[in-house]
Amino acid sequence: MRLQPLELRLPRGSGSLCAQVEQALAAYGRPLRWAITGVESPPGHSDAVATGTPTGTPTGTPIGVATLLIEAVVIADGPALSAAPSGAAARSA
Amino acid sequence: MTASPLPTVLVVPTGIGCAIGGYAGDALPAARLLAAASGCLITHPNVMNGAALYWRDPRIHYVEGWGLDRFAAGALALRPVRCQRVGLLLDAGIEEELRLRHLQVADGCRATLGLEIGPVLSTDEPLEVALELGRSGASWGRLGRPDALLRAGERLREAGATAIAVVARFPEDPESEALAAYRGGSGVDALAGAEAVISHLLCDHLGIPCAHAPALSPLPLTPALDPRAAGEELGTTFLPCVLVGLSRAPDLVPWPAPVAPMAAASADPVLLRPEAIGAVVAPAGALGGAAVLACAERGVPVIAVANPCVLQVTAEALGLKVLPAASYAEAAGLLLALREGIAPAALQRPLAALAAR
Repeated sequence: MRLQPLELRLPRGSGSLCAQVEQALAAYGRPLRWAITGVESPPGHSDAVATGTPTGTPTGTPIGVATLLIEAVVIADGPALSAAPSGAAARSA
Repeated sequence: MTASPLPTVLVVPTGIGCAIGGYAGDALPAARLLAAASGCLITHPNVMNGAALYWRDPRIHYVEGWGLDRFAAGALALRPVRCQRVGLLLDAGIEEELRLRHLQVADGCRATLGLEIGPVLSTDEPLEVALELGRSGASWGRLGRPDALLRAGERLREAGATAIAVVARFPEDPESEALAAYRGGSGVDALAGAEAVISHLLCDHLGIPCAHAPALSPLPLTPALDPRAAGEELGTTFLPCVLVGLSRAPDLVPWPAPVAPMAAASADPVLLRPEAIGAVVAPAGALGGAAVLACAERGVPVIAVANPCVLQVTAEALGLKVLPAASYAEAAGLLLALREGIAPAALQRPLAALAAR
């Protein structure tokens, strides 16, 4: 057992924020402590929606969708974090 | 006051530099006011812990952050108790003189306050606490030997402790600019993130009330000490407030109960059920925590108080509907309104007329 600190960037989906965050964290381990520490609006939001140009958005993030910045600690088994599963850009904090 | 209590969750996240609550229990006056307004306040150690300073209020329930998150999510109920037997868990990395100080504090709490404390155990390895800052500026931390923490906690529970006060040796840099800023009333509490990880881990593993006090060497006197930080520099440890808080911390009861919840509630009338939460109060820029979001998603009114911090996670950013309050005094007024069944909108102007659909 080890504690793995994480910083995630998660495109905001519809529905429960708690469920979205905990599902994203579950890919790395069992969430122990987490918080949304920032919310990034899509850059040039109104322009991006009008022109369909996905400039400046993280890879795979739908146009006009905010990005949640999450800081967390999960309880993990096995070796330390190396690669992030798809759907949530992560770095080991 | 004739209205029944309105159970209210108060969250002041630790380690994000809140103007109120980011120091040594300096959110206590706000907690006392909100407890008077609501009749029943559930809050976490960061709000109540003033190191050598503390306040006992039967309307305030001391619940560690992990437990608070689970209570807000509906996974735990709280059972008030008359007295917990508080085991003391000391990090093997604490030097002998500082260890003796902590034992004497515990003895003082037994002799002078009548607290039930013991047994005392040490971890079999130093815990190796490390401090970190997240990108947001919030305080986080690491634990090198979480296994040693959990082994010691298990032994204490098996030895009869019903709550655990853990004291871990923290790294210190008395010359750091960050510490000087904190003592002067700015910046974040650099210890807070690691403290939360320690107590969360212990609560998660053992399912009993736990709280943490850092072991640090005393700091030299400074004339530039901010009043909000003063509580931490009155004594040689941060332990008294933790022992007092834990001595009456409610038991954590898995919920829903294995039997039908209503049957469990009627069989245990003092049980504080998560369905009874009537409001949650949190800083307006820090609404992204698990407890606040869980309450909001269950339709519990969120009172967002202007309390500047390093975060900007607002109701607008998250798409939450909240009751804004310019101060904790205003938040108390809103709680009273909710408790008395008065629509908060009726207290605001202008008041738009109803429109028939």
